[in-house]
Amino acid sequence: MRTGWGLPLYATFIGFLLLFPLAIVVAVSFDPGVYIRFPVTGFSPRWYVRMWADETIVLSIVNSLIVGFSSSLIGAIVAIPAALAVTHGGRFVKAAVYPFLLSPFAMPWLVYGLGILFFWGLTGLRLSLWTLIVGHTVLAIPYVLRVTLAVLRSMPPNLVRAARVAGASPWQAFRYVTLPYIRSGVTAGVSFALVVSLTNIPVSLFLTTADNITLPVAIFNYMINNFEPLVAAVSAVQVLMIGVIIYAARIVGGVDRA
Amino acid sequence: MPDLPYDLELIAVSKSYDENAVVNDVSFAMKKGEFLSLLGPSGCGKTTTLSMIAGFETPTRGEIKIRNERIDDRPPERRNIGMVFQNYALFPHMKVAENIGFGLRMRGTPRAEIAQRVIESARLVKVEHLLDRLPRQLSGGQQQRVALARALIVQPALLLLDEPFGALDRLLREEMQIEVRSLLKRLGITTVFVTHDQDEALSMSDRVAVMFAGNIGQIDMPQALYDSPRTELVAGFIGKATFIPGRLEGDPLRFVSPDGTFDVPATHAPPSSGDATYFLRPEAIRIATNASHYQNEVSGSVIASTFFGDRKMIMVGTPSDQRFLVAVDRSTALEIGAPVRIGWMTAHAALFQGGLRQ
Repeated sequence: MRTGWGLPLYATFIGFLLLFPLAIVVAVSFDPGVYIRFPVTGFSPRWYVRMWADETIVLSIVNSLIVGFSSSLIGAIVAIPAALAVTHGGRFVKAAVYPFLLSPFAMPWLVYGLGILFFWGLTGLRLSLWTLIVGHTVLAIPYVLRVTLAVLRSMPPNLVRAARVAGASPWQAFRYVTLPYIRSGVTAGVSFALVVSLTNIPVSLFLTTADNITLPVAIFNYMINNFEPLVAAVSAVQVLMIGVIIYAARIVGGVDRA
Repeated sequence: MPDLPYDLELIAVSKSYDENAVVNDVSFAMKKGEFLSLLGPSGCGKTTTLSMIAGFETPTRGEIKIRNERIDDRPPERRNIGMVFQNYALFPHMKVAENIGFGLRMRGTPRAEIAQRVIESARLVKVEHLLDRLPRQLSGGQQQRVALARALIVQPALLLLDEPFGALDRLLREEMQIEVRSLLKRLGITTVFVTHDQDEALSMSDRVAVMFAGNIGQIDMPQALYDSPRTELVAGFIGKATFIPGRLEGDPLRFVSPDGTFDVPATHAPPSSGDATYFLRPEAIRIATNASHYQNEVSGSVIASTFFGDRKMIMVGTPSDQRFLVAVDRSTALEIGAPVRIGWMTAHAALFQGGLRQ
């Protein structure tokens, strides 16, 4: 095979593009000064200490985790049966239900956020963590559905038959054969959905108040009024959370076993 | 109805999809311990028939009984069946032991008993040293053994085999065929075997049901199928043969073809004059010499010769372009193009009229 400098150079360039902004944010978060600037002037954990003292930030982190995990798991509970239905179902499911569930991919999120705000207004429900969870669940469904479906389509149909004829009820066949088979796909989909929820601003912006504020919205609000390295510290924490989630998904999903 | 000791009965079972009949009025019954093959070309309905027995498909009409109980309205898990699939369908995330024990686990058998019986079943098919492996760490032959153990562990009333040898290479396949057959005979388990491979069906089965277009053309012992096929379709599908088109004419009736006039073999019913097909197995035809006295003889030349190691087959073409397949001694040396006379005894021939044996 021909080896040259082209590919390694290209890969380094892309890696640099991906990691450079991240590195700057992390570096800035440890700056002792009161303005965001680069290069940094020293090293201090002061903004992290300030962050933990900030009630709004801490509340938003907790809220974001609650909303992220709830919406992605509820999304999975909706998406898994939907994926089974699309795989084994009739023309109506394939032609109508499937595109409908995928539509949040295509819809501008700002439009969707505004729409669901009007919707909650019509129902008369007060905005809360629950209304936010529902809003994010709609976003989560297509992620879990799409990845689960890809795995499900690669599953030999005889596996479920083999389970049934060996004595498994339809539920047992799903529980002991189908679910373990699609586990890696479901976990990947759930982790995507979780990351989407944890970073979402356009939809959350419409659905959050002081009580149910999420982390990205808190960062966004903060940046409008301040230019302190606190934002960088909060962002670094957000990146860390996402990193942990993706790593955990690899372990839970059993990437190597599937 | 009399209380018949059948393990499996199909009574006029039919299956159609949107008016398309896939299986048509199929009936047969199997005694305990019998090994029956469903043999036919793809699309003949053999797999659909097996699916109906397993419970993956519901018959449009007819009844299926296992040990005298009607089961065609039951889900697969309540039929007490074991099944080995094409490509084995082992559960990829479960170790061999979990795969084998799956049926018992679904039945709520206590763990200690499952562990015990998994070892027994694994011994039966000689995979006891592989219990901690995952299916993808096994060879094709080993996977097949595990699939068989998984099917047998529940002590099913009936075992279904869906083309289980198709994925194995030839040597291993023949070895497994012999081993599986003797194991199943030893266990006395009633087995339905689906295959499109006639050698496999003939060598393994007590009886073979040959299916065409949703119908059973003939159900018989392997040797009877080969020696006395009841229809021209079965005769053409099982083994190799020569078919000569012609007419029955004269009094007494004789078979008239461009290659000559031949004596009519003994028939079950008196044949009538008209179009007919004359049928000869390769073993029925011999090379004629000056000393031989065959009732029917034809001249031609060798147009092909195939050596099989233990035997040899030649094809003889006549001036009217009729081809005869002849089994010859493996040491027979005949050049392509060499003139040859062949002959046969009338008793070794058969006659078909309207596709049916006369």
